[in-house]
Amino acid sequence: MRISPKLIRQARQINNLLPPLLYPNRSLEQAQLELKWITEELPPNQWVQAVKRRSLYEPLQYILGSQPFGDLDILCRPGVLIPRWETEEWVKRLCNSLSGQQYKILDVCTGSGCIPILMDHLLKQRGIDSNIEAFDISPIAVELAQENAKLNQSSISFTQNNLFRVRDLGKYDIIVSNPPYITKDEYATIGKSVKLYEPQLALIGETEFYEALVHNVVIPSECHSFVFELGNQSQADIVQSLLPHWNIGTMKDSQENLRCVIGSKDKSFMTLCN
Amino acid sequence: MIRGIRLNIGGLVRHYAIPKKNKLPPRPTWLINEEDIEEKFIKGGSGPGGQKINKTNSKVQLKHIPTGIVVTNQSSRSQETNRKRAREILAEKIQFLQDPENSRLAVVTDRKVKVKQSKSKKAARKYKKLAEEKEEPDSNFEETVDIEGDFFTK
Repeated sequence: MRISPKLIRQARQINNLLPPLLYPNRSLEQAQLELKWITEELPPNQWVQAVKRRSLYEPLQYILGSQPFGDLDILCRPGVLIPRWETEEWVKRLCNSLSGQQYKILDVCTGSGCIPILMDHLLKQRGIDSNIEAFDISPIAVELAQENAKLNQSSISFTQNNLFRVRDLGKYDIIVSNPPYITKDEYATIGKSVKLYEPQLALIGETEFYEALVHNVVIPSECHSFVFELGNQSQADIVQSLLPHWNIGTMKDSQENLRCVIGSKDKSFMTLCN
Repeated sequence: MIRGIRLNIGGLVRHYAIPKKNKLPPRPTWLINEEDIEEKFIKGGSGPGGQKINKTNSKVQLKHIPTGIVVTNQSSRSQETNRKRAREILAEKIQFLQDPENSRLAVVTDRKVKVKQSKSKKAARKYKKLAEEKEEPDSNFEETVDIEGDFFTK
């Protein structure tokens, strides 16, 4: 919908930098919040440029350079997917449900490294020993993830590896992943700022990533449980069909959207399902 | 920052106590009982989520069940910070309801009023002084003529 001239006038009266922010934000309240964050986090000589970039739908996280994730800050850079609140939510739920002494965990398609770094942080807080590794196909993602680990005092090892041709896979207890899950059809309808600025490599996937996760990681790593983020039911169904002897369930996020497929050999992870 | 006004009246020093900003009563977060609150994360309507959209806001809404007080906070980009801040705001409101006179909210509001008053008093004094100075101009200054400057401009 078109932004009304009245709203633009109203925004200009509050602050001259506000009208351009109406386009990506659609509401005055949200535009004001973003302007507040821009002026709080960037030096004054960068404000005009930041507002201009944002008005062209560039994600605020690329402009400010970070995204809060749990109580951590994750660096964000073009070419790597920005962490989402839905991911933060299931990672917190998962960590709260773990009660063992020690876990060996692998994160596949790690991107910025937000999942393993937050898990490491939360498990440490709960006094649980963990040994976490992660990989991604993109070298710029691996580099950013390593920077993020350093920034958050985490000793996770990040390597470059291809899910479809995995090399040197170890043994793990738990596998987690947020693979690309937007189908080609859905891609046409996604948020403008995602489509224009975030990497397709981290976004587009049908069911091939879930098939590869099962065949190339879950089975050979001999893990007992996994949590994979997803976007539609057929992705959960394929996992279920490939692992007929496992307990498989799904989890909705707090917006009531289907968000994860969860599997475990015993029933330990099934409390996460809803 | 204005930290109370000192008036010297007949040798007596009087303090108009405006509490210092770091000397305010603590935020009464002990009044929050997690079992009494209903927490909601408002993401702005339904629709696609996950990788399909990239939101920057993370609004937190708290409802205090015993009193029915509802507060929201979205001042930060971080949900964790907003949750903490919302609890502080809620605690102040509960305290105000229980003991209006000694509550932090009352002290803070009172401080704001006092600071504003002292600011406007100070401004009034300043302009009064300026007006007085204007009425009796400095004669020496007025009569100074820059002869050289005059010469060069001609």
